Amino acid sequence: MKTYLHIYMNALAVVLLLMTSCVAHPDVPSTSKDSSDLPAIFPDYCDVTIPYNIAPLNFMLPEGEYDACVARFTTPDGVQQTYGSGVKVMIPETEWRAMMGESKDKSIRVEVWGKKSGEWYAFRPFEIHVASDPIDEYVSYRLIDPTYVAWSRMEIAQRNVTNFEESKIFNNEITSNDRKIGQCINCHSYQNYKTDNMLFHVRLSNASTIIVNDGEISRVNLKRDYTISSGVYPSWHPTEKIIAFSTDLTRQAFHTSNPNKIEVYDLESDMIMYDIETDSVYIVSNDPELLEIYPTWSHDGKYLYYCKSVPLPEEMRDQDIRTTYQKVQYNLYRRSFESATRSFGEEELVYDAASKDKSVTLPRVSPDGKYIMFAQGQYGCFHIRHSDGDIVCLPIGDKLPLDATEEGEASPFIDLSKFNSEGFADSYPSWSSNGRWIMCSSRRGDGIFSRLFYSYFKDGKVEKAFMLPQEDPELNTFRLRCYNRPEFMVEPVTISVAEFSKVFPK
Amino acid sequence: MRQGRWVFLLSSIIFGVAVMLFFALAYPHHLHFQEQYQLFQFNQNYILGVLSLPGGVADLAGRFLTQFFLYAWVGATLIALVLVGIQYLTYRLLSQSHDDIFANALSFIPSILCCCFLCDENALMSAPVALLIVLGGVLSIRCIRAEEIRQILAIISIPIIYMLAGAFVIPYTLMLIIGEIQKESSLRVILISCGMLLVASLVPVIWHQFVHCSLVKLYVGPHYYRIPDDFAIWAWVAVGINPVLMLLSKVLSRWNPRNAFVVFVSSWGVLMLLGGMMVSKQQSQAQENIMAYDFMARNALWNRILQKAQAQAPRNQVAAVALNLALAERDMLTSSMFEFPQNGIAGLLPNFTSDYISPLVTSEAFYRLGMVNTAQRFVFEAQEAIPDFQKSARCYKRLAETNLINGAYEVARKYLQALQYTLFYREWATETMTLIGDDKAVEAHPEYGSLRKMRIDQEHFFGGNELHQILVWLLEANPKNKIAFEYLEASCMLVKDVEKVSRYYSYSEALGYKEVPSAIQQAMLLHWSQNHSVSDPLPSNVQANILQGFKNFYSTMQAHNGNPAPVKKLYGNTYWSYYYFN
Repeated sequence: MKTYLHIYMNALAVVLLLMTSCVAHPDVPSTSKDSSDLPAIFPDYCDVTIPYNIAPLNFMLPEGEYDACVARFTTPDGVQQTYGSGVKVMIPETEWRAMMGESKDKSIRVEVWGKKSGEWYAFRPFEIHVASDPIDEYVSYRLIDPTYVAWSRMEIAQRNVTNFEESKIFNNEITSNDRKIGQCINCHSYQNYKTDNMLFHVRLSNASTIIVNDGEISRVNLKRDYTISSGVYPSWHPTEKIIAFSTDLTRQAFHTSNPNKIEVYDLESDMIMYDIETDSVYIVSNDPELLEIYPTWSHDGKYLYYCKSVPLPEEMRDQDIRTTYQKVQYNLYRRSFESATRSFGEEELVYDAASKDKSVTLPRVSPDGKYIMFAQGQYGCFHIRHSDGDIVCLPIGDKLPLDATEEGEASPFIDLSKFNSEGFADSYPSWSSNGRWIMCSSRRGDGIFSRLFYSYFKDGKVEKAFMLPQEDPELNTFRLRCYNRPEFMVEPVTISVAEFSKVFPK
Repeated sequence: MRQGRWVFLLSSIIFGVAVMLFFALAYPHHLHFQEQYQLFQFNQNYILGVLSLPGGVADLAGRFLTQFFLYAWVGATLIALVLVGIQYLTYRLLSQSHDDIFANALSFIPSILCCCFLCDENALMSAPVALLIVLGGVLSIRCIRAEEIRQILAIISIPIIYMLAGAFVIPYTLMLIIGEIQKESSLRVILISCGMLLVASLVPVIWHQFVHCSLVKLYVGPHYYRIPDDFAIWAWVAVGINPVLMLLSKVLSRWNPRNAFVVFVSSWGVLMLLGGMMVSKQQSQAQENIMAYDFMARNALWNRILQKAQAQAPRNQVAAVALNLALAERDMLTSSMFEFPQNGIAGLLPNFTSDYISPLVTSEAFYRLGMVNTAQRFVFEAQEAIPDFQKSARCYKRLAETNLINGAYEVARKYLQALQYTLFYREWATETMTLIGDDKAVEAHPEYGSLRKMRIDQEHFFGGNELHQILVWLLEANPKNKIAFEYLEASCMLVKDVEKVSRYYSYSEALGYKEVPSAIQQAMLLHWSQNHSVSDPLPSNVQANILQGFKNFYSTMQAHNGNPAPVKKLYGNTYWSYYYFN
């Protein structure tokens, strides 16, 4: 037995040795020219604040511009390690974990050297600040080509952000019975960041909403005679088995010269509430003149926040929305909710965006109920298509509207300048379950292919955003798909694609 | 048959040359068509992505070969080599002796069936490659002399062949079983055969636990045909016939004809004749014609389009769009368009349809007009509509170009970087990469620079109904955009709005026409005739022969009481005929 153990241990040691020998720990260049600039690393991780449990922040210098890159990481205890293979810096997870463990609530100093035309350049060092507040381990998103009307492969994926594991929750290849009309999958949503109660929609072929209720999968049709469509944008009540949805007649139009290229707008839009246990659909609001959209529950479920359009100027009311779309603006409202009686209170204006010539979408209340975050652009309801789309955050106080200030009072808006991008669409904001991390989907890289960005949020202060790290930083270049509708999760979806597929007709 | 080996070799060479000539001369645009619906990248992610599904090796090899279809002769040669390879391996499988004439004649059948399969524009090269792998696998197993080892390896090979070649593992297993039974038909062999069948039928079920793919697809594909829900019938017949041929060959091998050479040549000749007839029935010259127009439009072969249309008038929308674009590129649209059949605005700038064929040629027209955003959209949509979810090198190239023209350099860079991993687009992508971020270089580029200037500067939502207005804006943005003028006037004529034809002619001032294009003169005259009396002076820019033609047309029409046939016979190439009878 001892002999076997000995052989096993030796074999293990050899394997580990081989594995570690694969990791490049290059020498720091002996001579280099100093540069006062920060290195042009991609993704940009200079002076960001990250959670201690995030996956390694692998990065690279621009290929073609540089021939090689070496980075030296120095942890607060003075331990140094170098990395670099070609122009990429890829850190083994075990070594990264050790660095993170040493650096909680402290900073790691990073020095980067880049080799260009045979000469090394030493860039200005930067720091990576490590917060002791963890981030939710999982994030789910829809991976989709930046589509117009047609689409091909589409999937809802989940990623463990503490490492690089990505897996499919569902895709549109298996259950699309009619390939000619195709199948769209969208709007995945979870109750309280957990996956025992979740949903996503399937459109066109096998159209339905897939609801997981305490782990049980069912396929539901939410379209009723009295609703304008089936459920669209969802929000789970934090404690009750009810889900608020908007119902929408959504259309697209294509710009001839506007760089935004596509306009998504609603012809009609109402709000409903679905009671899972009784399979009942209730109308929450259906103003025939106005558009209600993007319901979201407050942290305690006592309020339903949502966006609602303001009336168009009189002279525009009978015109085609394709000519008036730039005047369609949404304000933020809320109504109190009594869960025992399933009844709503009066509507309250939370944020008057239209008076600022702006339009609000996708509100999200922080888990502690102290803040509300939303996407804001000049008009419309689909800011991921608007280059002026930005994330806005306001503290939730007693006084409504939230942005109302007395003369001499400071602006209540939280400064999100380190989170937002300049001139690119930022949309779909959300809060981590501990409220310390905020996330959005942003087209800031190139204007088309959206990626996920996170910022540290503490006591109303927001740190510089960083991109979701990938094992190979070049994946961000070659994955020509968008990260759509990112959602934090504290646990993975354990139901397999095959299990979800079973609820569809064969 | 003494000279058997040479006769067999010659028969294979003749077959291969015939296949090559067929695809190179009669079917070249099917090869171009195949090539444009894939993006073979020499990078790890792409290769591992393809290999991760059962049949991945055959799929990857098929895609690898398909990238050479960009050059039809090379593609045709590769197809010929693959089909001759299948024939040779089939012969090795069937032959009972060195000069088995029946085995040789029969060995052409799977290749002929593969040829029929490849006549379908959605047939993928992965199926013939998978057949090659299957035949190679069976022969390799049969080479093993030790019975028990052979049978064990036969069972082990089943999941391996499934991984390499996909669902053809079922006929593979049948071939192995027949081979074993032909050697010895004992109870043990029957039990082993049952075991093999069980393994073959369970392998897809096991894979189903690991890959996101429907079980049906794992049993029938997964990637022999572009339309995922369709069954690659001819490919399955080509592979499925092999077990039958094995049995038939065994039976025929007992017959020892007196004049083997004559029997072989006549049976081979009959097979070739039948094969030729089958291929002729399977091939579609109508489709080839559409693909030819698409290919010529893609490569800006305007004169060739005109020559082809003059030889045979186009009869479908893709060809009509390509022809009208060629006419416009040669400044002939508004003079000669009615010399060819026209089917309204759908033959000029059709509305978007969600398929992967027609939007590509329409996007060529939008691109050359300067409607870069719309061209980009149509290309993007066409790519998204590719049924097997592949990306397209042609689309990537155009998406890189439209983004360059729009100044969206980072997006263009991503498409170019992907193309740098291809064999045939790498050089172009690397050259084009130098334009990234360099506005001056783009503006100085002969194509991208002029298209950047031609772009519309008026904001509007694009839709078929606003076409005239958008063409007007294009002209206002760039008064020298002659193609936009030709399309504007042509579109007005096609929707029979002769008033607008006359009105919009004022945009021709900056375009240097020496005389009013004849179809426009015809439309102007028609407009004049509808609003003036005979005594009114004629429009000054209508030539005497046009006027005379109109008088003759009118009198012919009156003489036949509006009966279109005789009028069309005489005046079918005039706008008046289109106006009154289309």
